[in-house]
Amino acid sequence: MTLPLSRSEVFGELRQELYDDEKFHQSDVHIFIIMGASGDLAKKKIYPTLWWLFKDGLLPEETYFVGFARSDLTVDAIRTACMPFMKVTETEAERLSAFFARNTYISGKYADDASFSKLNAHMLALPGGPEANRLFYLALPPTVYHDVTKNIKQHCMSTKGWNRVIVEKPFGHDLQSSEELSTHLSSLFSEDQIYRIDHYLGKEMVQNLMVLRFGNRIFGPIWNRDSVACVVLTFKEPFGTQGRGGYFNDFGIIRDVMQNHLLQMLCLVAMEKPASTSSDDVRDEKVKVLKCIPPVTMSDVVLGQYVGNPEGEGDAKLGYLDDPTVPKGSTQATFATAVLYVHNERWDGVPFILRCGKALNERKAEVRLQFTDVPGDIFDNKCQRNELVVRVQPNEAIYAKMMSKKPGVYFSPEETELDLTYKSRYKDVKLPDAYERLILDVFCGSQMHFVRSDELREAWRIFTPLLHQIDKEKPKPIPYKYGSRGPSEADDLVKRVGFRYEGTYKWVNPHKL
Amino acid sequence: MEPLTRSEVFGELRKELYGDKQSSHSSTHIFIILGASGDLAKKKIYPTLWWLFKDGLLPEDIYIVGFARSDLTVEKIKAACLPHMKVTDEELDSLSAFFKTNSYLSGRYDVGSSFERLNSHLSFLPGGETANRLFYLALPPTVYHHVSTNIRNHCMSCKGWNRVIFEKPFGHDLQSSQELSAHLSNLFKEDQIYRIDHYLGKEMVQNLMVLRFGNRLFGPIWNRNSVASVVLTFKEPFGTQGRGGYFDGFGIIRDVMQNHLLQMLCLIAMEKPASTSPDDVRNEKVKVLKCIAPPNMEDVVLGQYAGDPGGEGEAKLGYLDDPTVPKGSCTPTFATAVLYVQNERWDGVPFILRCGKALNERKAEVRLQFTDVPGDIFADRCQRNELVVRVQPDEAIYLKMMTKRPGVFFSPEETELDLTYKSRYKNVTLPDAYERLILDVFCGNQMHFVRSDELREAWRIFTPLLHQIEAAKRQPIPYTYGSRGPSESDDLIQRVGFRYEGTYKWVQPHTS
Repeated sequence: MTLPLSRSEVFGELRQELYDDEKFHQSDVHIFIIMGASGDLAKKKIYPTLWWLFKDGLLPEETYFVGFARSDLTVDAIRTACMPFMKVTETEAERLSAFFARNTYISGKYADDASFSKLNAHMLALPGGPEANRLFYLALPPTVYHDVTKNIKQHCMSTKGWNRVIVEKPFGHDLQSSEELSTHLSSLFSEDQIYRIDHYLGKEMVQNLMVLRFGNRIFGPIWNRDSVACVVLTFKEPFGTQGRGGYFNDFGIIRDVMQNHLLQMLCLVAMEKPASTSSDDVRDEKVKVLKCIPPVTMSDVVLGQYVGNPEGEGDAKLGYLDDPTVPKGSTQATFATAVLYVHNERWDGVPFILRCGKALNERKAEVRLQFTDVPGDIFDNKCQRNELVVRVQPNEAIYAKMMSKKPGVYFSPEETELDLTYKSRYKDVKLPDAYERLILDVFCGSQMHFVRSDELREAWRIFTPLLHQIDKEKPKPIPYKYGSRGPSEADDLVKRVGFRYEGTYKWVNPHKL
Repeated sequence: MEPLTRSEVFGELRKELYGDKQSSHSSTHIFIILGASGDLAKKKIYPTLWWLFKDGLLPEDIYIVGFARSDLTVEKIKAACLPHMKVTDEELDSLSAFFKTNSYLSGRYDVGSSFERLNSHLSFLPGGETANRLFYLALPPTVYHHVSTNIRNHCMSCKGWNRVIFEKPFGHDLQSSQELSAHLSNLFKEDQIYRIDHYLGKEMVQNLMVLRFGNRLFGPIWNRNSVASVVLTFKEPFGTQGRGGYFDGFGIIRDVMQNHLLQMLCLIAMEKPASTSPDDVRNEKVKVLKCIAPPNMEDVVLGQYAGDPGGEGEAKLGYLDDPTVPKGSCTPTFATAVLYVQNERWDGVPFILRCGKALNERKAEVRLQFTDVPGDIFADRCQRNELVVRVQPDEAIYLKMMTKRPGVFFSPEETELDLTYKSRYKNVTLPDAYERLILDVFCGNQMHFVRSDELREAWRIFTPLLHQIEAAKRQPIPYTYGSRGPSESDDLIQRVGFRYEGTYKWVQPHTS
């Protein structure tokens, strides 16, 4: 069960599970094209991920990798740039050579038709190239999206194999700009060719939410407004912008984290059981949840911006405005708490609290369901509320905070937990990186963990009025200290809408006791 | 979990159990052990009193008086008990202090004058006139009548309170048990009678109420809509080991099922009581029992262990090889019975009671198996959820559930949410069942003791079956020493709806 599988076993099982034998032919040739091969994302994430998948035998055997960018590069130069991020062991040297032997690089201009014709000719010239399936990864700034997608469509589509296009955020900056982009994309590609990445959907525990909810009878009857008092979705980072605030400042924490990652988790927690686990059945349900959420109002939001902690060390001394790349006097939020309500039969009245921020006291992403008080309590109000926590990172875990008899000669309730910490239980299982899963999904043609156009539209619909109001009125975010819990106003808000924080309990790693 | 100091424990305990008002702690208490020379006294009662004493959990002015037929001394009792008392070197002073509170009187159980003598002995102890008296009947049932009558007639404190602790057997069927109860209720009031079922003193059995009624999580699923079946298990890995003579008079149903397992069933099935007061709780337990019809013979499998020729030592010997067991005895050493609680919450849900000797393991547990997920979307790959409360050994609560198979997969796989006491509560020693129960008697808390009407209902449920077995001299199904018991039992369990997949093995997560 938890034994590590050999490479070929994993591959066999994977194929059985994911690759539909009908649709997928291991022997087919695939070409993976990285647009923006010279950039940071390509170097740090995409090339390394492709390498890990390649070395683990998870990619189809005949796969070629083609880099494309403006710079005048070589495969060797790319290799040198990527090496620090690829975690290559000495025994893998041969495999690494095999990987790079399948790599080529073409330089060209994103707006230039001829460059893409050249790219296409290059692909056709690869062994099996004319029949190959093509995967285009757009690791590019949004400014060139229009040109590149148009050129791919016009010059680089395979006529015999399939074509899939992977797109990274930002998907616009509000409802209108996002709709424009979507309209543009849908004029070029069909929805089943478009793979919008939200890398949170590639995380082990986020993917687990569906199995936990719909594979366990015990959660069925309590997963609703009768039993759930509130849901808290949290993303915390312990560091600030560290000199890269210029990019961040254009977006802010709501666009960067809340509107995508946290809202996606909300959908998975709140959605009804889909008709099946097929991608579109699942995404239909997620969209349905979003449609029931009215736009967030300013009164249910707390915004913050971190300031330096004079007692801190190093970066902690620096506030957001001390980042030289951040415009002077910026009112951009680095912290936000927002309360959303899902107005449907299951969730009416239950607050969904979305919290995210930079430069906070810890690194943590989690989903927390707090259950209602026990009705008709017989233990003198000594029972705390039950909570089910799914910790996404770090240290993946599921635990249920619950009451148990205080051990010994007592008969009073005491807080404890039922625990499943992945590190302890699954000693030898390596959890793949989110990008590994997602890129694999693109090969398999599984769109479940990608964002569909209508999902994206609804997500922007919910946040755009708030974002416009913030952009227009420029309310001053509440300053909070680097390394703190964020502004206390956020705790007040959370409390006001119904989350109860007793502070009487601290999670204990039972394996360190 | 910081371990508490002795005085902290004591303080908390007093707050929690003694109730600030009725803190009778300063007054004198006399604990009288009737049958002080017997096995139970030596192995269990004296040691338990010692542990409570050394931990400062007994009232300060405590006297312990032994009474039996033999001509004994405190010294001899001390010598007999010491091997069972786990005394460390640093405790020797405390041990002397303990035995200083002891005295011993010999007398006859059926002679009034012996008890008059006992009474004057009690009255002459310092503070004895006004002391509260606790009588522990560690005696064979044959002398219950005499002793209880004599206590009532000669030994009752008129200024302090009196409490009488009884051990099973409480009769052997409905009629005999009713006779005993009628006799006792002539002599004592219900709030003076403490019938011990030591399972009610176990940590995890006591936890059942907190788990059920302290957690919102369990409220909505604790019923026939979500629970497919409940399995209550008691397994011992050894046979009668030469003491089958006593056991043969009772059999496994009377010995384990009708009391221990049925008590656990009550705690699982009962409605939430109005409060945690003992009578509110016991009212609810009785109500459950009243909704249980006597089991039909077709819902019962009986077994008797046979020697395992491939086994070693004791395992080679079957029940009938025990020289103290009557030749050709049909007494069951294993039984599985299915009960139904015919009320709104549980109608149709099988409560499976399984118990036996000479089985493959030592285990007592409560297992709720939940229904299948309706409208499954994972191609029938989900196993049923189970909530398991392991009573012994290795106290634990765990929830068998499905999780995404870790890694690049998206299929469900079995796992569990776990609370193993040993790992979580490193420094907490769980008191022995007798310690808790004797402490409860001092505190006057009857929650964990069996009330007369509970006992009556328990016998009502099992007496028809027991009479039928005995009248028909039904031959139990032989099973091999060290096995899982007769396979017919597994068939029965499966037939009534428990699903055993065998795909999952509990893993001790902290050693893997």
